Amino acid sequence: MDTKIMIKNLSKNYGKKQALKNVDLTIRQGMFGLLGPNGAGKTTLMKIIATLLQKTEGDVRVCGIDINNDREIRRIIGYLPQDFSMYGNMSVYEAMDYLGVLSGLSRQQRKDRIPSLLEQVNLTDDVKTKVRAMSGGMRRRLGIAQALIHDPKVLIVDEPTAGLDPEERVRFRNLLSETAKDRVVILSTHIVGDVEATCEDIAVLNRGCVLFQGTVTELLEEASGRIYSAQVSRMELESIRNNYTVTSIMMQGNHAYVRLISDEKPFADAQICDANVEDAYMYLMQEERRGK
Amino acid sequence: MFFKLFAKECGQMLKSLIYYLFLAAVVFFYVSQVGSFTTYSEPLKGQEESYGIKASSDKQQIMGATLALLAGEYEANSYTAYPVGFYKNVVLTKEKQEKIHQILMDCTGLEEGYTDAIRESSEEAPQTEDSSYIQIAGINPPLLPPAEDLSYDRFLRYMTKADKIIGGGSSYASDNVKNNAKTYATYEDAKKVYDASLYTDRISRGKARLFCDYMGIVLGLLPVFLAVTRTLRDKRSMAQEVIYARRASSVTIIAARYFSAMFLTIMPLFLLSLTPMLQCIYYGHQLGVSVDVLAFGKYILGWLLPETAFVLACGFFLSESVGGPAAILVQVVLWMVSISTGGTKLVGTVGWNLIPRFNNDQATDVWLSVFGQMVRNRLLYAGLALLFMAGTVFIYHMKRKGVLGGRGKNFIHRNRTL
Repeated sequence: MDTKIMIKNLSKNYGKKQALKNVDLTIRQGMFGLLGPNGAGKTTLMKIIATLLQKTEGDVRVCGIDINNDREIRRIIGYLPQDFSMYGNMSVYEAMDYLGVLSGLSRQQRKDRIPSLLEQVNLTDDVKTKVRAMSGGMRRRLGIAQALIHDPKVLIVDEPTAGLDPEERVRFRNLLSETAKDRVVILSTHIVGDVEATCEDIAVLNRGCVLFQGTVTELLEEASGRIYSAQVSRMELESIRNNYTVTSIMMQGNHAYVRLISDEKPFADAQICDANVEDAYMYLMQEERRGK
Repeated sequence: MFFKLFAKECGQMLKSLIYYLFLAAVVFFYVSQVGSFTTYSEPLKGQEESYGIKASSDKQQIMGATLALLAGEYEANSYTAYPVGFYKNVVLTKEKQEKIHQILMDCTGLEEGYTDAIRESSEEAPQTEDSSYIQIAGINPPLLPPAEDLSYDRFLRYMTKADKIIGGGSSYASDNVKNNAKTYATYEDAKKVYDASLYTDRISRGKARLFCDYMGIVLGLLPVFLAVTRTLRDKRSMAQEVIYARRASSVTIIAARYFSAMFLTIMPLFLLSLTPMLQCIYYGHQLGVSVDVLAFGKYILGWLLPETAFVLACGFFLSESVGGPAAILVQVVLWMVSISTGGTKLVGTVGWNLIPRFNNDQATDVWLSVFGQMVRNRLLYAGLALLFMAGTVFIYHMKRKGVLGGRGKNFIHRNRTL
């Protein structure tokens, strides 16, 4: 089977508001990061691929299957929404078993897969824990396990690390990377660090348009030669903020270390430096605002 | 997949508090209303007790009693009616009173003095051994003699006209006039009723009707709570999207929920019916009567199942469409209208009511006379249940595809904050 998602000229309107505008994307096997600010259209795009929303225009094919064939698509996709939860009175095992039945698994298949998935997400000791008693991190891990229960070719994960503490976030990212070995994993997020740590291919979406698609290296190249760092006094900070896009500030006494975006050397003390994904992302956003 | 999901849904409902509240209400209603088993008393010739009452078949008596009632209400300008099942005291305008007066004049030949013309019924109440009279309310009512040339058919036409003027649902509607004149049953009448209970109804059928009459009252309302809580559970638990994205078809998901709710609503009734059934068998054995051992099962399936199916389907449909508990309000209104239809007539009120009434474990002839209505009634509600469920599947499917209610996250969040 063709493990690839092809999106051509995809548009989605909510009444007069256009949430997606002529989106073209090709998503291959492995981790794919979908980056963008709130309201960029990431969730809309994910929901269309998960057959939970109807497209207005365009073509989407998931592993060669047209998106209009929702029954077939649902066989091969696993979906973890941002606000994942299940019935509070169900235990972890019961929730998995219930969703396994809805995914068409036989009793034997459920018996085989559920324990191994729970082990994979480190929930083996919590099989009897009620969903309502689970922490945010545990719920996300259960969310990943339920999305993988029918061994889907495509895993769609919508902002899975929002609200998690740093340790849970790292653990969760690692878990996602492990699952991406033999499938397409689409990770939607507005947290640049998540993408940087896990994805090879990414797309940046803003106001319904694709600003960038390529590898992380290619994204870094976009901003290459435009990122500067400098030590400035607190007094100068205000003026720098007004004149440049500042990607990070680290305060140290009366001084601050800043990273900023500029097409040319902003001032004498500034040093050109290697761009990271956050810098590159900010650069793209700045260029979009400028209308380039 | 359906049966696995059906079993899961049953398991989930068996864990819900609302189901046990439903069960408690059903059992309480059964214990408090159906109560203990009562045997039929065989009428004996010359017995002290009355043989009961029956609607009079004497046309002169029906006409006289109805006209006396109409004259009394006309003179007080206070008419009792049940236009949509609810009691209503109707006061007519001068013009309408004049029309009623005209009807009275045409039917009696009298222009006025109706009260003076009303006379007591000539039929005597039965006497006991100590020569005292047995008096039962509503028996042998006062009569206003009809005009000599008034035929029964013409009388009925006049009464239909009077009913229309009053606004419908009065004692003058053609279906109701027969009940205006009741009379004492004879030994033969009572024996006929007794024999029918034993040999036509084979005891258990009459008891099953009474059981269904009472249980129908609670099942006309309570199942809607199960349907609403099941539907809203997905939304409350934020489990909608995870379930929507599954392979199971919308028909399978909705059918499993619906049939599990129906199964767990009907099963307790079968269990509750075991006691009266065993009592019927024991009683029948004592009398040497062959009891219909499947009667309760047949009546539950034929009478209560369509009602439950309708109430659940209506609940599922409205909850899925509106996304809130509006179905409960709708069902309460429907229940009140249905339960009040027919007013005080509790035996043989069928028509198109959701909750048909038959509050009598005998009256076999009345049952046989309304049986056709009952079949049509139950078929209607079974059909409506199917339609509502088809509608529920459609709406669920449309929601699942995002055609109905589907929005991106920010749209939803904006709406929540507005």
